[in-house]
Amino acid sequence: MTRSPLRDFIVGCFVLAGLGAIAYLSISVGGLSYGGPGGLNLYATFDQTGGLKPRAPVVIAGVKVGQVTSITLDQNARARVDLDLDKSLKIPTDTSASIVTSGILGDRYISLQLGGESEYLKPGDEISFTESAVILERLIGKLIHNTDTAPAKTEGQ
Amino acid sequence: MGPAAAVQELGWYALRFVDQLGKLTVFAAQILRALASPPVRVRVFVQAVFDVGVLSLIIICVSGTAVGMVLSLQGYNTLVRFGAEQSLGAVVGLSLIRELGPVLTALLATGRAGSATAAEIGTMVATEQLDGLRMMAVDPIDLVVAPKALAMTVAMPLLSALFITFGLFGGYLVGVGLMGIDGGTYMSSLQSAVDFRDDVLGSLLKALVFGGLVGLIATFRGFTSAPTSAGVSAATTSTVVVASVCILLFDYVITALWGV
Amino acid sequence: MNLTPDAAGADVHVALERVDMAFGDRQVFRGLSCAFAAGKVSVILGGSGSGKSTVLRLIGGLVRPQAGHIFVAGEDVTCLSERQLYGVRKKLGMMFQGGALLDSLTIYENLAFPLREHTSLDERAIAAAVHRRLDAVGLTDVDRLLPSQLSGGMLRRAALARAIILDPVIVLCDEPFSGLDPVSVKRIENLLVQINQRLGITIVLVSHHIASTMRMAEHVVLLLQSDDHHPGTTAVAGSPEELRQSSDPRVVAFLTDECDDGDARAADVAAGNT
Repeated sequence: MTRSPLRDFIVGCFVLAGLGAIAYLSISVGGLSYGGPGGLNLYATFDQTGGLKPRAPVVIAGVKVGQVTSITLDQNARARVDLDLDKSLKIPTDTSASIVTSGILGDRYISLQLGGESEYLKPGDEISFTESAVILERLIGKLIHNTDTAPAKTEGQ
Repeated sequence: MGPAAAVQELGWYALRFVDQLGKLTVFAAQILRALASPPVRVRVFVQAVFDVGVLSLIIICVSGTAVGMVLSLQGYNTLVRFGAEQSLGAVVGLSLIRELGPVLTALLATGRAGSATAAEIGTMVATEQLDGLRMMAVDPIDLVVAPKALAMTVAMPLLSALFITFGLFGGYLVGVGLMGIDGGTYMSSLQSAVDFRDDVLGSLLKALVFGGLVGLIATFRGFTSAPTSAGVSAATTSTVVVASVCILLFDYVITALWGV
Repeated sequence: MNLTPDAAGADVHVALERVDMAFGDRQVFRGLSCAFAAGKVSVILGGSGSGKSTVLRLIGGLVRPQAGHIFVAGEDVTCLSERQLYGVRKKLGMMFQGGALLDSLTIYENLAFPLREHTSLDERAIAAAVHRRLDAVGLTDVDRLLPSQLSGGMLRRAALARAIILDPVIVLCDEPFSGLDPVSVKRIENLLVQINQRLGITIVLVSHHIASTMRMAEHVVLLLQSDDHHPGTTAVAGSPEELRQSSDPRVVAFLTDECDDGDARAADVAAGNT
């Protein structure tokens, strides 16, 4: 086997292109750079998460600033949602978190409305003001009950 | 054919299958031993990466773009019925990364490089080149087989990543350029849906497994082919058939086991 | 290495003892015994399908017999592992029927390859060694050519050059004359005799080419398959002269049949004798 500079160069280019594609998929698409150690970890509790999933984005004014790391049930049977935010952010203590939907049936994500306090939340703190997810089916159900209660009950059974 | 003969036939096939599987395992062990022991054949390996990877580049890039474009078109037409076309990026990205990228890349590489590898090694068997090596006290597994199998394993994740990247680009072209979805929406839907550990890493793992499979099957079929031109062509055909079926079966197994 | 044929006569270099060999259901040999003396040109003759080439492959350890022993340069190759065989094979050079040169490498690289694998010579010494062998077989200006660009006769000579590149003590040649024109046959024949005489290398070759065999061989082994009267594979051995004068009807039948076998071979004989 002999050296062939051109072939070696082309193979080198191929490997670089492949690694570049992996890096692009990992970092830019897969969001590898997000949520690394040292991020700002906060949590919030909700009555209803309504299909929020781990890795859902957390946005402030529509800009993605972090993601949901886990969703668990706490001892009061409420949903505890752990968030991982950009550590350079300053989140006032009276900030509120709400679960919203992109479009009517789109994915759930968490939107933060920053408050006006001069004190900021530290890693591990709770965002205490929360607004639970709106469940579309329940809304529709309420609507039907309020307008047409009696016939729905008798004919439905 | 009577029932007894049919059962006999079945038994024969089962025995032959187990026999082949055993030989394949021994073959794989020989390859691993050859890779672990000196000499390290860098030049031969680079040549093998060239044959397997670089020569498959064009087909991978073109196919990736085309698959991304059609996924985007089909996805858009379905999603728009539910008013969920802003999720197009997620649909295209997840399908490509989790499933289509590794599987289609492996199938294409089997047809392009796997068959060529089997034919090349089969021809070397038929023309006594491998026996010639053994008579020169050189292990043909070490010199010919192992670098090719390793090259296939290494090149597959790279090819798959390129396939996916070109697919995402093709999907973007159709979704944003043709269907008029906002570019930022497409990208943010893609980025929020795709996770590094669950999706990207799993995708690379799949491609790595497929690469190993194709490399092993292609070299094994070539190495054990009958030393005739019919033997070489049979080895080539069976490489494509066996490797393709194995890729699809293993795809299911990996997905079921690791949820990739 | 023995340079004088007389001294070599007593020295057996390769021996097969009661070898049974079968490929699947096809029995090739049963109880074959034969020996090849050091420093001599020995030829294995036999009808097609008599397993002539298999003898060479057995000697090289490329295939293993079902029973029996094969001694090559003092070692029983049937008892050696593939790794241990490599030690024996470095003493062997084999010239395959089709050349078996690596078709992705140039002729120069093909010859340099065994040196790069098994010696620590620098590039200049390798080039010198390669060109010395190419000169010996009468090939010039073929360094950069691929094996597919050579004619049949040149390919055989290149294969012979590779077979002797590591200074083996035994060279095995599988059908070195088949498919060649008479001039090339004569040329290869002379080369083999030269290699034997100048370097004292033991040559074992397989051929169905009776004319050249009878000219160059010092020792002939004729393989005869078992029949009703003779169980097992018989090897009739002796000098070409002894074989010609043999009274064994099977030997006589083989020699006369093969000599009358077609015009092409008669033409070879004629050309070889001029």
